[in-house]
Amino acid sequence: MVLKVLLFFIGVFLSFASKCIPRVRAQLGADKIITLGSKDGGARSFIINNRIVSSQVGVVPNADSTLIFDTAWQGASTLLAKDAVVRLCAGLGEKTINFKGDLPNILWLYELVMHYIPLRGNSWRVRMPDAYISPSDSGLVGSRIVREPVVEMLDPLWSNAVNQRDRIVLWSVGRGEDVSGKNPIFRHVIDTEESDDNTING
Amino acid sequence: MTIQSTDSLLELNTKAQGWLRFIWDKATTQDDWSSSGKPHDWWDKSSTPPMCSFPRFDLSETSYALPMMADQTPAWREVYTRIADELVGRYTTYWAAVDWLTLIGEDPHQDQYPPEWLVWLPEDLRGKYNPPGWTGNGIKPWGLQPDPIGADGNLFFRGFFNLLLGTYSYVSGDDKWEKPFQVTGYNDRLFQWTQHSITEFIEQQWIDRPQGAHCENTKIWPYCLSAAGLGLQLYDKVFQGGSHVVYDEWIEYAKKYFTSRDKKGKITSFAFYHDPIEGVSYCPPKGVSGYGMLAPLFYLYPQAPEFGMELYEAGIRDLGWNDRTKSVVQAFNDPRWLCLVLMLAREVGDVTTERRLKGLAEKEWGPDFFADDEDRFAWSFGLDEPYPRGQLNSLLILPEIGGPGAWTNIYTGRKESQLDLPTVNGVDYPNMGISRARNGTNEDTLYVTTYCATKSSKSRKTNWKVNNLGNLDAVKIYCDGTEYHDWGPISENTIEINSTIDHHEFVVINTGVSLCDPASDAAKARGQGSTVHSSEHILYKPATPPTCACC
Repeated sequence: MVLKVLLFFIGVFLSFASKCIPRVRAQLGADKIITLGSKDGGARSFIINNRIVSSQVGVVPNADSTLIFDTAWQGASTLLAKDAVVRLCAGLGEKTINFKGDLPNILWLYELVMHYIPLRGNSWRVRMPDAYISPSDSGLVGSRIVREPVVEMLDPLWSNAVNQRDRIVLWSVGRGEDVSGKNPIFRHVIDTEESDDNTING
Repeated sequence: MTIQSTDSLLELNTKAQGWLRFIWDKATTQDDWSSSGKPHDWWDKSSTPPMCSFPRFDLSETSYALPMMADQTPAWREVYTRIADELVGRYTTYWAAVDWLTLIGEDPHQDQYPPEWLVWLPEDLRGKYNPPGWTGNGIKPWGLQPDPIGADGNLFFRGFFNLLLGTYSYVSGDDKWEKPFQVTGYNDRLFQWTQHSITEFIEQQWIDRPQGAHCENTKIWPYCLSAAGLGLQLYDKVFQGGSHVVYDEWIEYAKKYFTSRDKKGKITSFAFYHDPIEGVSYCPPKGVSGYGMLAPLFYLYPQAPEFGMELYEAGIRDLGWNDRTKSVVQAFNDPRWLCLVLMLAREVGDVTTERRLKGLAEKEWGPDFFADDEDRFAWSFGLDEPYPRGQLNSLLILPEIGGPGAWTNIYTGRKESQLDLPTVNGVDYPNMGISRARNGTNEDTLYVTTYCATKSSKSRKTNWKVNNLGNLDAVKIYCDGTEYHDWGPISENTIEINSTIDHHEFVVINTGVSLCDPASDAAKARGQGSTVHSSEHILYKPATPPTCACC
């Protein structure tokens, strides 16, 4: 019951946030379906479509990520724990949590929601000494750096480079293409048998 | 005369032989890395996006096997030299610096990226921040910096380049890249550098900025700083320099500011990167924070083994990859992490983790001999692609080449130069390869094992040379245990051996070995930091950048 309620409120919050909070909307560039649930209780699927999040009860076949806890209690206590990611990984390793799809989706969703829970944010704000935060022509190498004015985009007249940029994964994904070269059957959780290779450390 | 058994001597195994065969193909097949061309599809420009999905990472990572192989066959290096030369040549081109030269200004797609990439950003900046890999040349306050080496940022370009240059020097004993060469910059402008001036730039910039230079504008990565440091360390070893002290000082800085510990003093996280303008350090959350601790270790460990070991233990503990009671959980759809940790486990002697991860790699990633007659070797990583992934294979092959400590020994051990001892050359590679080539401890016996590297050439006649020999009247050769006579002198210190392309074990005994010949003098001088100009240089063709009108 606790897990059902928790997932319901997460769904309500994300639905609202995806319409009203720019910070959340900025992270919804990719359409995804993420399902959380338990074997003994319900499940809820979060559907991201055109930067709007909706949710529905139940498991959606072919979701991008599906995470199913053995029990609802385990699910609720894991998601609410301060060390949720530790517990999540432990549960996956012990096989008390079943998973299918891309694990980073779960991590991202969790952190997206946790941002709004006090003391749960993960960013590490720190000012380190001797920070180099503006260009300097002094020092030992300043004179070796050719500095030109700020520019906002690649020179459109350099047509070769403009065309070649389309071949870069980072650029193409930013323009909406899928991440190329991903293993579609990558297994995040693997039972291991130790290698019998007798050359190990010998 | 008793001939020492060769069984106890190091030898390239069949996987290493097959990998060498493949990287030879890649390195020596001409392709066009200029702004009007495109690298051959077998250069890996898709692994570990968004940070490493650029082909230059394949260049640098392909090189890592070379010094390890050279340490296994120190009396045969010509093939490693040729491959390293081709890698360096490509590194001077447009495509090597394609990110710095084309990802200009702020990223217009900051809010378009999928969750699997957003998780690599500080959580409160996601959707409004340039992702790792977006170099942002031209942004405020740095402005456009057209030279990919002489820049405030882009350390990951010059740092890995310097490491590659050091690798070339280490395996070749040659000074080709110590001379001026040109590097392609923005709008195809050309900038002149040498191996020495790049090293000097990195060292002096680090003195100016003890926090560490930026990679992307504006991110400081322990991973890239450690690669740059390793390049300095190798430079110092080859040229007896003193540049590496800047890294030693940075390690102390990193212990203080990049590392967080619990009340008992145990490491709980190590920043993946730090942005000094935003004042934020990114590290993955507890449970996957081990990725941040383990990421730089491949480069950091040979330079700071005590701190490296502390990071290794904390990282493995966090990920639980040494826990036999649990399955291995890989948080990210990317085999790179496991390849790195497998290599590290072997390097530090963590047998439990090494056995687990090696078992997983064998089971999941399909070791495969492929291509004509299955002469080439690589892992497919479960991917249905025309060519094996260069970046990932370059890491996973390393445990197959050296024993524990072999990687560290390249950078820290005593320089064991066999360049002044009898050396095998003129081998008809890739038809025939050399899996063992080492002078014995008495320096009067050279052990050479040949193998057939291209099966279609098996049993064909071939010949190869041994130079740096002393009195040729005192030379005796044994092949597969019996005295061998099909050889002859071709110069004062060099002989030519006729054989067939096959597995043979040769022993060249030269009781009159001379260490006073010109070649050895040159090699010794080089070891003392002198500049020696070799007369023969390989002309590098594919990498010549175009000359534009403005230069």
